[in-house]
Amino acid sequence: MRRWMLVVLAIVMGAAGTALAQRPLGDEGLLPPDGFSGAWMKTGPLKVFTSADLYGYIDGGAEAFLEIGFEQLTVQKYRDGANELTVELYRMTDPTAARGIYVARCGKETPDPALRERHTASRHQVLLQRDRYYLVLNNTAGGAANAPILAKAAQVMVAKMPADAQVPALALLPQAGLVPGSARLFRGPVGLQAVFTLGDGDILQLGGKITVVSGDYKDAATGATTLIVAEYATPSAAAAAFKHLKANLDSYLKATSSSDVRLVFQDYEKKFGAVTLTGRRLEVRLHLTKPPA
Amino acid sequence: MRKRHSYQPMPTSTDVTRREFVKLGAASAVAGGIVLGVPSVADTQQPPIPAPPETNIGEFMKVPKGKHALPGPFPGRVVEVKDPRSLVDDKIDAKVVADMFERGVRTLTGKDMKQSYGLLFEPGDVIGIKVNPVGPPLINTHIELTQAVVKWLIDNRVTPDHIFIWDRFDYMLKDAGYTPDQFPKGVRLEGLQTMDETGNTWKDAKGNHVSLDNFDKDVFYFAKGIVGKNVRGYKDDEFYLNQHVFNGEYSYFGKLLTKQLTRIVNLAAFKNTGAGISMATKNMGYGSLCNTGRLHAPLFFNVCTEVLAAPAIREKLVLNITDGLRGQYDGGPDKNAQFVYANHSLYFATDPFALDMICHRQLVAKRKEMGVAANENPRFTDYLHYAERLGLGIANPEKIDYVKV
Repeated sequence: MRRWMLVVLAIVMGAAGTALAQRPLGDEGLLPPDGFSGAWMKTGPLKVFTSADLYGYIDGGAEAFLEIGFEQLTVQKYRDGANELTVELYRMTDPTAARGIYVARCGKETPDPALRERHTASRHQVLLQRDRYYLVLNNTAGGAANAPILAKAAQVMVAKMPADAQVPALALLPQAGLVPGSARLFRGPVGLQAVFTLGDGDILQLGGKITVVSGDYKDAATGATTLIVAEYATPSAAAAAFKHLKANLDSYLKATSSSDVRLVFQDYEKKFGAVTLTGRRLEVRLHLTKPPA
Repeated sequence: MRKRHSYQPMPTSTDVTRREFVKLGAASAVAGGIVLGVPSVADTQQPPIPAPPETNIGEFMKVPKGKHALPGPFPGRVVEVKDPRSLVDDKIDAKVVADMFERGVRTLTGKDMKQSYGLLFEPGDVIGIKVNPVGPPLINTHIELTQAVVKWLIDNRVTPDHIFIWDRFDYMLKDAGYTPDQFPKGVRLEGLQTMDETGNTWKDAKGNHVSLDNFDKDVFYFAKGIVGKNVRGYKDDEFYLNQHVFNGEYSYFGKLLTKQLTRIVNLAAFKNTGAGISMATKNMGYGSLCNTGRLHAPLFFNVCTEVLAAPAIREKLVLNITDGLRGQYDGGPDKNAQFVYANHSLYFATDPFALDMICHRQLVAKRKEMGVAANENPRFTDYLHYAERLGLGIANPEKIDYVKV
C-alpha cells in the first residue's frame, strides 16, 4: 500500500474513532444537564442496559419489558447535597410498547399540573410516557422537600423527546362501558398473566409481535367483565392461535362447549369465559356470571 | 380450633393425583419430579405438558425431621398485628414497631417474650436474621423491625457475635442502610456473595468468582438439565456468573447457613411478583443459595417450597415475620412507588406457607380494591399446597388459624 493511502486510512479511522468516542451513551442526550434546576449534578457513572443485560438492573421485572419491546435503558443519578434523584429512561421499540409498560405500571394516575404528557406523580416517583419513551424518576432519598424536582427533571427531558404518537391497538376496545384506566396492552404471556391465565406459555401465539388489548367493562346486564382482543396479521394466524388455545386450555378452566369458531369455558370461580374467532380477530370475554348465549 | 400436624412422610406418586400434578406444573413448570413421579399422559384427556425438571426434593425429605423443623410449633397459625401509629407521614415509628413485634410474638406463642425465646431457640444458638433489602427506602425489610428482633435476642443473652443479619448480596444490604452503626457492636452483617455491578472485579487472580468459597458444595438444590447458560436477560454467561457464582445444575447453599447458623429468623417484605407474591417463602427460597437465575423460568414458585424443604433451612427456620408496614400490590418484585401503600401491619408465623397464603389473599384483595387486575388462578398458590402435602406447612385457608390483633 502506498504511503499516502496509509495516511488517509489513518485519518479516516481516527475520525471514526473520535466520532464513536463522542457519541452519547444510551439516551444521554435526553438527560437533564449538570446544574439543572439549581445545583443538581450528575453523580456516579451513566449506565446503559440493553435487552441482553436488563436483568442486571431489574432482576425479576425485566421480562415484561423484553416481551413487549425494549431497546435500551439509560440510568443516571443526580445529587444536590444530601438529596438524590435517579433517572431511568427506557427506550422501547415503539410507542405502543412504551404505553403498554406505562399503563401496566402507573396504577391510578395522580397527575402533576406541571406535566402534560401521560404520567402519574407522587413524592417518591414520577412515571411518564411519551412517544417510545417510558420515564421513571425516583426521589431516591424519599424526602418530601425533594419531590418537586421530579417534575422539573421530567419537564427538561420531555422537551427533548419526539411528540407522542397514537396507539392503534387501543381502538380495538369498544368504548361503551369501558372502565376508565383499565386498558392494558401486551404482546406475550407475561402481560397476559396479569389479566388472566388462559394456559401455559405463549397461549395466544403473540410471539412478541401481535399487540393485544384488554379492558374491564361494567354493564347492567352482564356485570363486571373483562374483554381481551387480539388482531392477527391473517385469518389463518388467528385460527391457528384459537386452535392452540383450545388444545392447551389452562387446567383450571373447563371447556363447556366448543366449535371451530367459539369456545366457552368455566373458570375456578364458577364464572364463564367465551373465546370467539372472527376473521383476523380473537376476542375473549371473561368473568361472565352466566354462560353466554 | 388450631389443628396440630405432625411430620408426614414424603408423598409417593400414588399420593399425588394427575390433577394435582398438572396444577403443580402449571405454577411454573413443576417441581419434585423424582418424588412425585410422572403420571402417564395417555390415561388422561389433558394435553401433554413439558416434563418437570428433576430435583433433589426427595433427598431433602428423606432426612428425618428434628425438634425445630418446619412448620414449627404452630402449623397454620398466623398473627397479624396492625397499628396505624407505626407509619405516620411516611415515617416509621420504631417504638411502635417494637411494641408490635412483642405483641406479635406473644400472640403467636401464647407466652411472654422470654418464654417465646426459649420455645424457638436453644442456648448457644447462632442466629441468622434474613432480611429483604430490595427496594429501599419503601418496600424493603425496615431496619426498625430488624432492630427489635436483635434487641429481643440480646435481651435473652444471645451475644452480638452470634447474630448475623444477612442477605444474598452484600451491596444490597448496604444500599438499604444495613450498616454496623444501626446495631449493637458485634452484630454481623453479611452478604452470601458479592456482585460487582461494573463487572470488572468479581474474579480473583485464578479467574474464579471471589465469592466461590462462600458456598457449600456439599449442600445444594439440584435441578436436572437446568443450567445457567444462555439464560434470557443476561448479557452473556460471564455476566450470569458474576451474579450467580456458579452456573451448573447445582445451586449451592451459603456456608453461612450450612456451617454457622443454627437458627434463622426470616424478615420478609410485603409485595407482589406478577400475579403472585414475593414474601416469606421467596425471601428464603431465592435468598439462601446461589445460581438461582436458571430456576426462574422452569420452576419459579416451586423453588420457594423445595428449597425450604432442605434441612439447611427446614430445621433452622423458627420464626417468620412479614414486614407489612408498607405493602406493594403491583409492579413487584422491584420497588414501584406507585403501588406502595401504608399497610401498618406485621405478620407472624412459625409456618411460612400459612403466612404466605394469608398475605397472598390480602394482596389480591388490595389489588381488587385499587382496581388493578387480579389474576386469581389457583396456580399462583399451588406451591403452598405442595408444601402442605410435603408436611412443611398449612396452605388450606380453612385450616389456617388467622388471628388479628
